[in-house]
Amino acid sequence: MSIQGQKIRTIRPDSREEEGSITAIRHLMGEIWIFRSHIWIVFREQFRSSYYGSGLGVFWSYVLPLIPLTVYLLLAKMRIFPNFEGVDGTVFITFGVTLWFLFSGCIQIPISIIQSRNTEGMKTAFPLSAAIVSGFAQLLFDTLLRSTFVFGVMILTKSLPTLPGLLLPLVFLPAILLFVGMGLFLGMLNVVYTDISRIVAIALQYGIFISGVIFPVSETGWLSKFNTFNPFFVFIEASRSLVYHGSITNLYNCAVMVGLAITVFIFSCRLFFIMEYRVRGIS
Amino acid sequence: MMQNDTVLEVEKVSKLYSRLQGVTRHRIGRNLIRTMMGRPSQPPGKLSPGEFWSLRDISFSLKRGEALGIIGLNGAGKTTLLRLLAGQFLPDAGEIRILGSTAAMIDLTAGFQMSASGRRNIFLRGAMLGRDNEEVAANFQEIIDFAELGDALDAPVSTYSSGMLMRLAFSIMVTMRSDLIFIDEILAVGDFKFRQKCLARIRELRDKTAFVFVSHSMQDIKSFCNHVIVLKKGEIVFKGNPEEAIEIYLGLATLEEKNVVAIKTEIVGPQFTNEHVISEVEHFWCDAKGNPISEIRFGETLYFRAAFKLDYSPRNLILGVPVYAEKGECVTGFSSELQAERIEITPMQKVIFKLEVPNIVLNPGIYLSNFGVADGPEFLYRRENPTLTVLPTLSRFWGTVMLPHKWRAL
Repeated sequence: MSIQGQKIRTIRPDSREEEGSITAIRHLMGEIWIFRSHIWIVFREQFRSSYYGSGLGVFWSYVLPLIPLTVYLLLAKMRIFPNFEGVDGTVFITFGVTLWFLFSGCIQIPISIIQSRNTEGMKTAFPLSAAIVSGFAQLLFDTLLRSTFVFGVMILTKSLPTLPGLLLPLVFLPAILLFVGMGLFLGMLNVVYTDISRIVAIALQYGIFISGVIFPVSETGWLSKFNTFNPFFVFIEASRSLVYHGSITNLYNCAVMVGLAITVFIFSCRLFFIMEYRVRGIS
Repeated sequence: MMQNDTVLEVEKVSKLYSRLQGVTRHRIGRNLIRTMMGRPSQPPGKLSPGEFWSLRDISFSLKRGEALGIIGLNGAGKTTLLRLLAGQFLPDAGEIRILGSTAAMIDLTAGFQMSASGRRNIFLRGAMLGRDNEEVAANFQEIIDFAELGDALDAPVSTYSSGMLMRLAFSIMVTMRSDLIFIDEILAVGDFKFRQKCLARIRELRDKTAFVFVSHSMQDIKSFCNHVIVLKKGEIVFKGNPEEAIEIYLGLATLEEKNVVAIKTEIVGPQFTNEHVISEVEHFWCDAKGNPISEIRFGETLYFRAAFKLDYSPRNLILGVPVYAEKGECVTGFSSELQAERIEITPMQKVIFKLEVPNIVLNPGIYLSNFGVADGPEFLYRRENPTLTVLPTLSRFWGTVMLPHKWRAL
């Protein structure tokens, strides 16, 4: 039975439970597609209104994401951070920090959006998946802005990337899958165990220093023994070696992380899919 | 399987609720762990301390072209039921089957980007209903014509009054053509003219759309709904035609305790007893035999009984009962001042009075009142009477009173 091809929608306590992981991912993608207009409008309005009423207005949206990079750039220029592994210190740091913000953002955005939009989602039946994607739109914008800045620094310091560096998205893809998966999983846990978001924030504050972001891991002493298990380090190291040296030096570790990324992403998407409407209204 | 033209079926739906977030989190936590381990969720089972059923075994169905009213006292579970139907969260037991697209108007500001203009919010809200920009653009003129926001359309919605927000939200919702529309009490915030316009639009949509209404306005429920459900503490206590449903609702509505305190204090005004001169006071609405009553049917004879003892002989004793409607307006008053003969009483002797009001013309509703005893301009006693509920006998009524009348062709 249908109205112009529409199916009967059934709402039950165990709704979505019988769906498998692939169906869950397809459903989430479908939601994002259906609400694409909304995602775009929300991103645009938040972008416009973030600094509404301030003297410089939207200018801040372009400047603020670059501030951390300029701080590290300044420290590198002041020789507080020397050149590493034959790469100019300014490039090393700005490149690492840009990747760090991208990867850590992939974890933090789902956590904060599930927490902040859960009640609103309950009032509108609006899917949280679409809200999370509109949050990622801002992260994407900031990353593009920072990448442009890094590329400018590379040109100025004559540390141009190698040609295989164009394959960087192939490293990014599994990294983003892994960190988004972690974000969805931790976001759901955070609804029940509300300390999770704070623990994650603290872990990420320390994590930047043990992930080869600001200085090479060889400088981190005994902590460097854990690098094999640190996905941030593995993906940042792979990205850096691809861009600077034209090949991935930690290929084996990278392959393991790709497998982990796919597993975590599939598991978390299904968990998110099943739990989304059960945690509604809990903030 | 849903029957022909049925767009909504609700079968034994229940919803658990706890005012303690920790209890809710604990239950969801157990559910989350089971899901992580790949196990199916379990039925709620034994309730934890602090948990209760906000809805229990709710079943009904709705066909295209029908309008269902949901009435009940505060906390009866009306909005929770509406949210479940709108798919805003999942039930803890039972099943809801929906055929076609839905739109809900439950929270006025939900989904609005407050810093954006009304114009942009039309697209935003449209997108939230799953409509793309082209579809919203095609209906844009109709939406702004209906909303009548004028120049305010380009102002941020944070500057709108609640009435303006409601107009915008309602315009978007009804223009986007859904098969099933859920509307909470929020129509009440619109002005009279726009409210009539909304109701007229709902009437126009009736052929193609089914409605579920939550309202405290018995007039709206009577005018628009084919069927009405009366909820009490999360359970259906009546399901059927609007007239009977309203009668049952009014029977239930002896006002919740907190409302009694909040509303009565505001409506019936200051309470006073001069304990030095008056004592042993009793007063209540009653039947012809003097037995206390709390309900009466329209058209019946109403009685009131009062007894008290004064310790002096008043010069000009006046007895009065001002009557107020539920919303606070003074409907009428029954005063001994209008009688030709003066009331004489003997000091220190308990006196009993009986008031008779034949053929009561108050429309169905809840009425509050005071009993006052005065000596000329000086009040000796002024205290509220038990609430009186007038039950309907007429199929239609308007306003607060229904005066006897007859239309005749000349």
